[in-house]
Amino acid sequence: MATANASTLNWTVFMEVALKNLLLFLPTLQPSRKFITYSLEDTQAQLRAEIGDMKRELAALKQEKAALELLLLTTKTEANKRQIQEMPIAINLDKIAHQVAEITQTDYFQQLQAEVESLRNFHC
Amino acid sequence: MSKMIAIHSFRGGTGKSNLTANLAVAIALQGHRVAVVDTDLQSPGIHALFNIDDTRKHQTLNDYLWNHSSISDAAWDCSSDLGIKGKGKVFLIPSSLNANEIARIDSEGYKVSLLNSGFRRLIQDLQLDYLFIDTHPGISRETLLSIAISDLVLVILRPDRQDFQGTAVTVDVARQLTVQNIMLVINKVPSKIDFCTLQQQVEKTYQVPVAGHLPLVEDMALLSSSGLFCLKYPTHPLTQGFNQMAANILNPQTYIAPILCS
Repeated sequence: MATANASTLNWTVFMEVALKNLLLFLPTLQPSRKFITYSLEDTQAQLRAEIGDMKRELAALKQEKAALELLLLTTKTEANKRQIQEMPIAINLDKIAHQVAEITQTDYFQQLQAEVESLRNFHC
Repeated sequence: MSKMIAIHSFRGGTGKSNLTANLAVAIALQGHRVAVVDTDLQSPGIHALFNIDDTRKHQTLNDYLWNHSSISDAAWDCSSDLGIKGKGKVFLIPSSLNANEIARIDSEGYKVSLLNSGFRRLIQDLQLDYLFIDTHPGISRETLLSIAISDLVLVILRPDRQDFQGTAVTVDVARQLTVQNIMLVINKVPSKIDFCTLQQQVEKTYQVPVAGHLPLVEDMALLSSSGLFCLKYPTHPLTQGFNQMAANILNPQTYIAPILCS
């Protein structure tokens, strides 16, 4: 019982001290009370201003993104242009004429040439 | 009315067998009866694309040429193995993989005219709509015959200096054999090459239309001749190229140019 009374007494003392200390800081809590006194119109205007700022920031970011995309596209196109190659067709006509003559002057070719029409119309 | 189509290249390694096999299958998938004859008797290869590794269990083109069998008995029906259903059929007439048979072809040769009568027999016996002839690279006697008697000759080349030169020889020889329909296929085109300009240059140089241009594709190399690209990669741009060429072969009157160059 003696221990319980001592605890109750200590608790009462503690609360008194705590309230005194807390009241010291009450003036610093005034701004929040002041905010609550703002009118709805003021709050809306402030929010609209913030939205306006965000819109301008977003527009700037969009512009930055578009500029980067364009830069990448240009770089890619130029890289592709550099990569695409043409392949010139260089053929030696004299050599071809010689190779063709070697084939067409054979007996087999001339025989085939003579028979080709009948071969095409051949039916078994 | 059946059509014979010879697929030729002046040099090896152009992708001739792959083009032949994929075009044949693309056409069969449209419900047509197609046969492929491997006349590359010296270095047969197209059988691998149809997943045939051993020709000993069956007749081959060599057996027909040595008068051991009819050519139709040497036709392998690959349709069900390839998953081709319905009316469409693909037959392969392979060349023998036997080393002695290949050596015999080299040493003794064979009567080339048998090919012509054999092709006609095949068309009749198998009721073919299209007969594809996979030729030996270069200009041999069998190649000349195949070029001469075909309704369409597709010459395949790579954007390569030696291929450009050899193709000019093939085209000139084909003209002297009064071949009516000859078209070029540009294969293994690197992505850095301007396709449009290349096509225009090729058509201007050879005065022959380009039936198609096919890109250089790593997936094709990775496939390593172990199957048909158009079946393994049905939506790949290379397969679309095969399909476009197949459509042009089926409907030449509505020919679609591979590139619309302005």
